[in-house]
Amino acid sequence: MSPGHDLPSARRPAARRAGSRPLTASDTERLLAGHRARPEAATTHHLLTGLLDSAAGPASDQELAGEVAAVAAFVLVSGGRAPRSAWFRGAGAAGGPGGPGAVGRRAPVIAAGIAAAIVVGLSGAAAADALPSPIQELAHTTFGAPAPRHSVPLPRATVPSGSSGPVTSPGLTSQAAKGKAKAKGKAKASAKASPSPNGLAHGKKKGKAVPPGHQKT
Amino acid sequence: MPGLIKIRLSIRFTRDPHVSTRIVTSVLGPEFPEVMRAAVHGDETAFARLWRDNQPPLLRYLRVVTGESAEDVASEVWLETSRRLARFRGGEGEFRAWVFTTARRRVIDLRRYADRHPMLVTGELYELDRPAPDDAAAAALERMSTEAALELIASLPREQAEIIVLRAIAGLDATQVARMVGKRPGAVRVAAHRGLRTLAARLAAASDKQHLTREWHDEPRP
Repeated sequence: MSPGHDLPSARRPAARRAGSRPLTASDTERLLAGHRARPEAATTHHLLTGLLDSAAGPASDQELAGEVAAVAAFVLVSGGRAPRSAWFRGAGAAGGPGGPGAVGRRAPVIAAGIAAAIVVGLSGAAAADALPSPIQELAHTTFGAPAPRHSVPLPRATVPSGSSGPVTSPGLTSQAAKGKAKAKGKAKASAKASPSPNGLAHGKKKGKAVPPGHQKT
Repeated sequence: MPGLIKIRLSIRFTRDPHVSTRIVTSVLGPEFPEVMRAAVHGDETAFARLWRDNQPPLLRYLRVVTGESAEDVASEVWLETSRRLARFRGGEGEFRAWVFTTARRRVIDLRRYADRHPMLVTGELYELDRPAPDDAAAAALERMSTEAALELIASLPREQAEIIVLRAIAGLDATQVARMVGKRPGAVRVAAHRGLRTLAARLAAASDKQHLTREWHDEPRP
């Protein structure tokens, strides 16, 4: 404790000048916000203002001495950060309201656009039956795209009358038959591929039987 | 550099006369978004401007809370800031709060390290070199220098000293400081108020002592 505290209050010059007004919460906020103490304020308020002003005074040369080292470290760290094109930087590069986050904000939009383009392209290709067979088959079974067609159809099987061998429907290749079998279920597929007991062959259209005399060649 | 001086001068002369001239006032102002954008894209000059604005208050904060390690911690803070600059969003005030938040985390890491690796000395080395609060108050009154003022603030309990520096030197408001230190804004205001009251008492006591000394010297001897 200061020796001054042991003396009678009349012997305390600062206390005498300052009066007894204590520091209030609003005084604290004023001082911390950088406002000067009011002229009529207690001496301690003025002392505090001086103290805080000194603590937050202008920068000294010593404090700014590390600038070169700091910038060198910055260059080292940001060495791989090459300037990006004006478009990629967004409107910020042209002085607009964009900024460092322009790319970050655009990324989801760009990703969504790319995804939409892929979906539309695949749908169009599936509708035009232009996809590779396995993918076309998948599209066919998934959302009803045309079944994959084949450039080299299998030769039509000629079934001698009374033969009990399997008969392939005309125009329906074995692979397509397999695909249909997958789609329609094993039971249906076996029914289609099984020989007709009465020599009737299944046509292209479902459920229509073609008599032997009317079978197209 | 001349531009920076010009901005500082213009702020000084256009300022409200009732507001003191502290470095916490934003210097870049409306230029900040452009400077930040350039720094993010690797512009050294822009980064240097950000550094010049924030290094002095950062160093003073670190001097109060860590003492001798201040410059080392400040270097680490700027290194981390350089790495994460592209992720920053916000204005000049938010940038300063971001830098000081990084600094505070480093200080906490440093304290944890010190706790895990205790030394033979009791207390921290920088505290041994510090003057007693009464001496610091007298020095602050006599010299009114930045160093003397920081020494007096550092003589407060750690939390009060940190809050006063963050508010008065870094220029952060109670809400920002509360977010940093994990307290409510009301608790931050109370801590700052207590700290300032203690400082005021010490300054008054030192002032009394000076006056008494002068009176004693001026009194006629029988």
